[in-house]
This record gives sequence, structure tokens and C-alpha cells, in this order.
Amino acid sequence: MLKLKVGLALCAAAAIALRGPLGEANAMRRVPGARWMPDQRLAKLFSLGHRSTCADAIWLNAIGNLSRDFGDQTRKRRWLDTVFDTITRLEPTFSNVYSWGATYLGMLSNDKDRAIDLLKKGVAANPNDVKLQIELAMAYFEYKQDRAATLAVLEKVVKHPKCDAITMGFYDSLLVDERADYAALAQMAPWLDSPNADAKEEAELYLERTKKRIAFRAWNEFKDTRGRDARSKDELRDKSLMAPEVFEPVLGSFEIDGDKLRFPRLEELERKRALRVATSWARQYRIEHGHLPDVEELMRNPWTAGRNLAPPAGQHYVIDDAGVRLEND
Amino acid sequence: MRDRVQVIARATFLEAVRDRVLFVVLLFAVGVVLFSRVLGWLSIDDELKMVEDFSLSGMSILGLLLAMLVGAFALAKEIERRTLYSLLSRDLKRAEFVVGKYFGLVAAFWAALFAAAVVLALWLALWGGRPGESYVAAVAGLLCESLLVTAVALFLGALAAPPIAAVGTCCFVLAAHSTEALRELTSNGKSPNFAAVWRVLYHFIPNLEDVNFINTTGGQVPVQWSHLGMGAAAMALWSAVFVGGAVLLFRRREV
Repeated sequence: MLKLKVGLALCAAAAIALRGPLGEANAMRRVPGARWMPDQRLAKLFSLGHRSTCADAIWLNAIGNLSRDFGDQTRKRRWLDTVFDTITRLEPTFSNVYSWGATYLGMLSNDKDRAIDLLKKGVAANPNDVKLQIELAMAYFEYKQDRAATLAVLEKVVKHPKCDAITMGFYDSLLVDERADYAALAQMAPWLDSPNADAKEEAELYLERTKKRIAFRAWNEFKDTRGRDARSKDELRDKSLMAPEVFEPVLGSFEIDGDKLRFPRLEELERKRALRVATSWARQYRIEHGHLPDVEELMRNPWTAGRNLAPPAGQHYVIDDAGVRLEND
Repeated sequence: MRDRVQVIARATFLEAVRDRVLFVVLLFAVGVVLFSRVLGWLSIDDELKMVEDFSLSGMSILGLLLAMLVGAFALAKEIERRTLYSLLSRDLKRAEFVVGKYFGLVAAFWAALFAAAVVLALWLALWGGRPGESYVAAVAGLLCESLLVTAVALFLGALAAPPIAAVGTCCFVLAAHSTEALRELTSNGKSPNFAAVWRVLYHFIPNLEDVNFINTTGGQVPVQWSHLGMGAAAMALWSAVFVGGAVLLFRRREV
């Protein structure tokens, strides 16, 4: 009996001792990019009737890897295609996958065509899902600036009893002036009341960007019709150029500086956003590498999206646990 | 005859309810239901969908495990314990015994599935969910599935040794859930010969997907009750075939 007990204790001790080396061996398997997915054509067969549950399991696994750096964009793209295709084959009514998938593809992966394709697939599979239709309309509007396609989708949506007031307002505003400018302003307005400071600032940024677009349109149209630059904001208030409800909200956002337009608030918001994105990227970097990046590494990576983000004169970037910020030299 | 079948069914039901296996398996299903909430927390936006999907799948596995561990062993147990001899020495036909066993097992399994369904409904309600008609359809589908799987387990139990019957029941469930997917897979024109064979075979293999409504709980698709009704009728007919087969096999069996 004692021998058996000793034997059992030894076995347990040996098994516990193996945990360390096995943990290290498993760490090798966890290298970025080693994400395996079954062939989507066989997914239904493998699910053995539990399609919905398998779709859930794949989605839960995918959520954690969406923001992961695979080291190779082509590989990640292929993985994403397989994930979305497999889940939507298994459960075509899983509307959040279309929704989150399109958001990821459009905003983070910058693959707007595939985002729209995914939403189109979702709308085709879920004709009663108003939320997906609204998202498709907004994708047409934001990614393609396609007013006609946006209107075509929204025409059906606004007749649906579940359509919300914001979408109805957005649809109405798209019809003003036969342009999309006013709609873009109306779209962001509700977000300015968000209790989330980041969401609020992001909404304000988009609003200011839209105002810039409208201001430039007014400026250029004035120049085309009068043959000279406008000298004051009052000159731009010409009703024959632009509807007052479109132009009036824009007036406070810019200054006329000789023959140029300046947008001080927009510039400030763009700077803040760049720091927010950099902070988020630096945090992700720390999770994956175990330490914060240095400034050189920060400027070399995809968060910059090819933009010139050199710090303003007399300032430099500081990276620490609080995030990325600018400090005076 | 009806009275004798009823007596056997009641005795089988009570025996199954007293069996620890049923409680262990039921406990497993309830554990899956409660644990599924954790998976819901890992998700974005679809918390209750995850709970519902994983729990209903757990309940489907509950039905399969009960058929494998209780149904497939039911006839052999009676022979092994020699209780069958005392029953058959009286005015009881073998067919009545098998049919009574079947109804008793189905009643016990339905009770277990119903208990798990009530726990899940309460669990969903606790987290703010409202089990609707799609939930009712999914549970009804599971009950119909249990009807056929129990019949198959009993049939295989009459045909072979209980462990083989249990494994066979599991294989049957896997195959019967895959018929639809195989049909879709072979319809791409890549292997026309296999597709032709499968098109014929498809009609002769029971299709458990006919009553599988677990996959429609998450979406906004309305429940097709006529589809469920036809599926239930198909399950009842297939069950009659398998129970009839079990009766034939059990009549020939030397005990």
C-alpha cells in the first residue's frame, strides 16, 4: 500500500515538474500567425449539427486574434477571410459577425470593399435585420461617399417600423441640397452628447473634418463663380452657392488667412487623435513584446498609416505607462 | 395489452429516474448551462446568444449520452439481472416488453431534457433574456430527436452487445446530423458519381437536421412550425421503424 502511495506521489510530482518545460513548448505554438482554421467548405460537416455553437466557438476564438499582429498581412487577410466565411456559412443569421467584421475590415484593416461585401452578404442573409442595413448604408456613405447607394439602402430602411430617429434624420438630411455634406454633419451630432470622452472627441473630429470639406467646397465654388478668393466669411454666405442650413454650422470652424483656409480646432483634434492611436498601439506592443516601444519604433509602425507625424517644433514624443504624449524639449 | 405496456413503461421510467447515470448526465447538462454564461462574457454583444447556443448543444449531448448510457444498456440489463425471465414467464409478449421499455425510456429522457430546459429558461431570464418561440421550437426539436435516438439505441441494444450499441448510437447521431451537410457538399458537381449515390442514400438515412432548431435561436428568422411538425412526424415514423426492428430482433433472441 505504501509503495502504491509513493508511486502515485512520484507520478504526480513528475507530472507537475513537466508543467514548466511543457509551458515553454506550448509558448512556441502561440507564436503570432499560427492560427489554424478548418476549411470553410467542410465546416458544416465538422459541426455535426451544432452549427450555431461551432460558429460561436470560432467567433470567440477569433475575437481575441482580430487585433493580433500576424507579422504578415497576406496571412492575416487569408485568416480573416476564412473566419468570416466559415462563421457566416455555419450561421448566416449571426448578424454581429457581419457587423463587427465589417467594422474591423473598414476601419482597422482599411479594406473598405471587403467590408461592404461582408455587409451586403449579411443583408442578403438577414433581410429583416434593420441594423445591418443601416450599417451597409453608412459603409457606402463613409467608405465610398456613394450618396446614391446610401439612399437606395435607406429608402427601404426608413419605412421599417424598427428604424430609429437618428437614421430617419440622416436620410432626410441626405436629401438636403442634393449633397451628402449636411447628412455627414447630422450623422455625428448625436455622438457629441456621449458620456464617453474618447467617443465624444472622435465624433467631434469627424464633425470638424466634414466642416472642412464643406468649407472648401464653399470656398472653391465662390472662386469658380466670382473668379477670385473670398475675403470674408460673409461673402461665402451666398445662398446661390450653398443652402444656409449646410453652411451656417461650418462658419465657426475656420479662419480665412489671406488666400488660405485654416482650421485650428481640427488641427488640435487631429493631434489628439494621433496620440490616442499611438497610445493604443504602444499598449498592444507591450502586450505582445513585454516592453514599451521606443520612439523610433513608434514612428516606423503601421499606426502612422503613412502620415507625417513628426512632432511639432520644440516638442518630442514621450512613451511611458500612461501612453504616448508630446512634451516640450 | 395497453395496460401491460403501461406497466412496463412506468417501471422503466421509475428505474431510469432512480438510476445515478441519469442524474450525473443531467448534472453535466445543468453544469454546461450555468457555465455557458462565462462564454457569454467573453463575447461582444451576443452574451445571451452564446448562453443559449452552448446550453442547447449541451442538452442535445445530454439526450445522446442518455441514449448511449441508459437506452443501449436497457435490454441487456434486464437479461443480466434475470428480471426478464420472470416477466416473460407471465402473460407478457416480447413486443409489449420492448415497446414498454421504449416509452418508459423516452419519458425519463424527456423529463431530464425538460428539467434542463427549465433551468436554461430560468437562467436566461435571470440575465435579462426572454426565451421566445424559437427557444420552444429548439427544445421541442430536441425532444423529437431524443425520440429517434432512443429507438435507435434500443434497436442496437437488441442487435449487439451494449458497448457496441452505445458506440453505434453515437455514430448514428453523428451521421444523421451530417446528411444535410454532405448533400450540400456533394452538390458542387466535383464528384458526380458520389453525388448520385448520396442523392439516393439521403432518403434512406434519418435526418436529425429536420428537427434541429438550435441554429435558429439567435437570428431574427421566424420559426417554421410546419417544418417542425413535419420533422416531428418523420422522427415518429423512423422511431416506429427502429422500435419495430428492435421487437423483431428481440423475438428471435434466445434468452
